[in-house]
Amino acid sequence: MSKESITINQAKLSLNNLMIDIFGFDSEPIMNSINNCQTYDDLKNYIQELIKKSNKDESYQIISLWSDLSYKIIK
Amino acid sequence: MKVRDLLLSIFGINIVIIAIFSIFLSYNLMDNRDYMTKATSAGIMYEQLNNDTRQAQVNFQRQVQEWKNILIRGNDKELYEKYLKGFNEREVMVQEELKSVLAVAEKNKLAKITPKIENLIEEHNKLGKKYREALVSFNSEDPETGKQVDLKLRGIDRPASKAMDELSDDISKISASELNSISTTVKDKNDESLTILYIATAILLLASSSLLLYIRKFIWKNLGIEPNTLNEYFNALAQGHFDKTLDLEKDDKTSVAYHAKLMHFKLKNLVGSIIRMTEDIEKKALKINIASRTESFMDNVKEVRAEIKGMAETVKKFKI
Repeated sequence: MSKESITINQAKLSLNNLMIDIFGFDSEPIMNSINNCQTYDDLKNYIQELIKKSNKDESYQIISLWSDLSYKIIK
Repeated sequence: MKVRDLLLSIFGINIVIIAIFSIFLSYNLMDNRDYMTKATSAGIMYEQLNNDTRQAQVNFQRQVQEWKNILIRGNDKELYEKYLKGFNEREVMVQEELKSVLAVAEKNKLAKITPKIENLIEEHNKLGKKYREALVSFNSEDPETGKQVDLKLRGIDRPASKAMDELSDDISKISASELNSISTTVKDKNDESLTILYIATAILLLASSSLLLYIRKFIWKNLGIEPNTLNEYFNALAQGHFDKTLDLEKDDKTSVAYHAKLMHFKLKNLVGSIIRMTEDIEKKALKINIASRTESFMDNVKEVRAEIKGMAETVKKFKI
């Protein structure tokens, strides 16, 4: 990822792609929840919630991407 | 393995199996045909031998009958000549028929009966000579000489007649034995052919069934679902119907259907993202008050620009 800023929609796209990679075809409800987040804070809260629910390997992948995305998102 | 290579291999394996068993069967059938021909020829040959022997025996009995006629009715000169001629003719016929039997026996290497036929020819020849020698003492004008000659040679024909009977029996026995042996061989060969046929059929059925099951598994594993369903699914995606669903086997992570569904999901995510960005641009563009040059105006412009940039970057993910 470049250090340039991204919109929340771009972040959602990347997060959803990761969800597909991790959860496969079961990722649809998660993707819907991500898409329903209107603000950065909504998205941050949902991702934190998701990390808690996920196993070690899954949460590691989500944290890695989120830590990269979170500081690039235009708040 | 490629489907094309797999089908070619299956075709090749089947051809090899069929070819091997066809060669075996053809060989056995040709062998059987030879045995049948041999059996038929042997049957005809033995029947001919038997007929000739029996014919020789009949002619021999006629020859003896002619001999008796000479002795009984030979007082008449004309009848004497007639019966003597008949006697000589029958003798020649018996000799010819026995020689014909001998020739056939020698040609077919029937060592068991050849010496017997040779002896019989010789004995019959000697018998003829004995009859002629005895005939010297026959006086046609004296009926008593006929009785004397008859007494002298009475029963002399029986050993030859018995030998002919025995020869005929021997031929029948040899014929039965040989035909029985050929029949057994033909039966064994037929059984062998049938066994080969059963084994070949079983192997072909087993191989074909296994290969068909393997192809079914192979194609199913690669496609994941019925080709028609997959075709309809692709068609729906091509029409932009991203709401279409596809049910896969639980553990399927390799099939064409699995990858199609994965592509579907990622495209749906990408297109969904573009739709949301467009909606956001629309909403944010409506907020811009072109007449004002306030701080909020500039913020709105920045937001719209950021969304457009984001959309442009998203769209760039499509490689055309």
